[in-house]
Amino acid sequence: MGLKRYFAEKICMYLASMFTAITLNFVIIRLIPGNPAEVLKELLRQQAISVGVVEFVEEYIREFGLDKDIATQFIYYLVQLLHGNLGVSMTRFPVTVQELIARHLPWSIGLLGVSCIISFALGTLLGAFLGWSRNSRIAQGLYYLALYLSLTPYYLLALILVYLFVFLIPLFPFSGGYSISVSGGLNYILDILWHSTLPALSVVLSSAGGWALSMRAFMVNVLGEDFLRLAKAKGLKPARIFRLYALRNAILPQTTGLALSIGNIVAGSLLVEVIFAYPGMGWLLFQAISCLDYTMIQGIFLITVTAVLTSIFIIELLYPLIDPRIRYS
Amino acid sequence: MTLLGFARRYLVMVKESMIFKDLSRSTKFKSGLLLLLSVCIISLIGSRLSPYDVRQVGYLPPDRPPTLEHPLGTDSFGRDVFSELLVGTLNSLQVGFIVGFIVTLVSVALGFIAGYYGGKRLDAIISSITRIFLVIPALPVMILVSACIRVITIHMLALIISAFSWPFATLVIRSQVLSLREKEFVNLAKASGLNDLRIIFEELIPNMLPYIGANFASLVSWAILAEIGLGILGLGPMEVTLGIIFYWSLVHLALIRNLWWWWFPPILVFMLIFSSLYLIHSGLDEVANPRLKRVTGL
Repeated sequence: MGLKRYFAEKICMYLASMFTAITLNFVIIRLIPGNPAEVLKELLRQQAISVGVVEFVEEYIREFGLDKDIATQFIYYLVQLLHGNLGVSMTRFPVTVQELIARHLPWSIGLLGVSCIISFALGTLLGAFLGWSRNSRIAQGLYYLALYLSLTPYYLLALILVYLFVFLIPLFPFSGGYSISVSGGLNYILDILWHSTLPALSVVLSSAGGWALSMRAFMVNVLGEDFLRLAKAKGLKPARIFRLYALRNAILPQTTGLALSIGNIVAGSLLVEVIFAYPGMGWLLFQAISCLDYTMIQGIFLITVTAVLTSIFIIELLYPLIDPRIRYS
Repeated sequence: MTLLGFARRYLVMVKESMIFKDLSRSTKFKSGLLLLLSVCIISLIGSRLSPYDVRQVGYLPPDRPPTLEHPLGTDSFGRDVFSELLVGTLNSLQVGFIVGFIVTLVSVALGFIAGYYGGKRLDAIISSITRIFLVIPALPVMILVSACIRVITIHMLALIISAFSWPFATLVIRSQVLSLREKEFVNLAKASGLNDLRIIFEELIPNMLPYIGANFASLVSWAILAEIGLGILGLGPMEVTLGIIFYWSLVHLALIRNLWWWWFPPILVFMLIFSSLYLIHSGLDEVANPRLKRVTGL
């Protein structure tokens, strides 16, 4: 009974959050001063387009039902979304928003996925060590290092890294995701890795600090528990206590933290991509903002939020597997 | 009882409680407060005294390294970076404090209504709405809003950030209220016939002040962080803030042109503000939860 209710609750929360996000996306875009047809005309004029404007705007208005009342518009919008249609990019038509996102999304997923896993693993291990031997000098020194790294936001760390490793010691490229001159095979992959090192490093350094701090706190809590004292009293080897008793219990709340922080990682790394001109979603967003491509901004918002909500949802569904206590509560 | 009388009695009551004694003994809290106050005062006085107008372009020769007259050089617009930094710090702090005040008020009100005053049904409604908004990442929503409104002032920016920062704070306050309402002194107050409002204002809130303060400190730093994030994307207000300084230094390639005096000092100022808020936060946390210090061993 407990488990069924848990899943039902999580599914309801997921659907409600998705609906809220979609509604926000629909409502916020109507904050733009002036009506959408005028905004669209203005954008076309900026691109020196003067022929066929009226037809284009009419087509656009019909597709999104902008001449109907607001409730009908909302239903139109939902139907379009269910068909996977995010609309046409206002500044790069006839390219659709989903095409552009599909082109840039893999870069973000690659950069974020890898750096997220690395930083989680590194930070958790470091935190476990910090908590286990919390009275040693080294652990206390490392604690303050982790604290400072976690207080520094990704993008400011990125600025410092660029200065150090691009300007002072030119080891890495300043911007972009790949070199135009390199193509095909192993060289291409190496080239991508070379370009991704600094952006990934700034994300890893900054978030690993946070993971280390939270893991240390959980570890210290577990170390105060009675079953650990018993394990020590039984004369178990410290390595065994560390691995099977302390680490396994401390890592549970850490995974919940992973779910909650995915949102921050995604949003924070949008900015890292801007600094490095890395061809992912953040860079696409930056360009869309600078030329006021509203359908593009909306599309990126929706994809980002969907990604965040869905990954939180998946982790919550998996959580009973990791923590058996939920099954019985 | 008049409002003023109530306020005066309230202040005395809070002052007499243990919190102030504990706080005045906490080195973390005191040093953090001192640091934050000095940043505030320096930026406030400095930006008034500065002879250079940061709104005027081409006032000085551009891209000059630091000299005695311009301690942080000039930027590509020919502005004095030091004055720019003073004004930017002041404006960013302003965003932070406005968000801190608004969200603290809202979250305390919602937290008490949900956790104490409103009853079961209202609690269920408030906390599920809060949880729905909690998981929606705030930065993308704020990006969307600021991109749509386009021309914004510092106050509007603060309102936008507040509008999407309340869920976490509200849940924190609510869970504190829930754990506090089961304590003995609340039962005693109830038994002695105090009504709900008086219990909230005279028993619960004074006991929760360190939590509320810690919450406030983390909200201020979150708001400054959000302001810088939006600024880097070019979505900041039409005034100089720390985020806007980063934006223009990036746009003008200050990094590879080695104009370090333009982009590095704002990072230092930001770290200073952030560290001071962190010290205040953890000082208050330790007062609220004395076990914490023993557990963390630091």
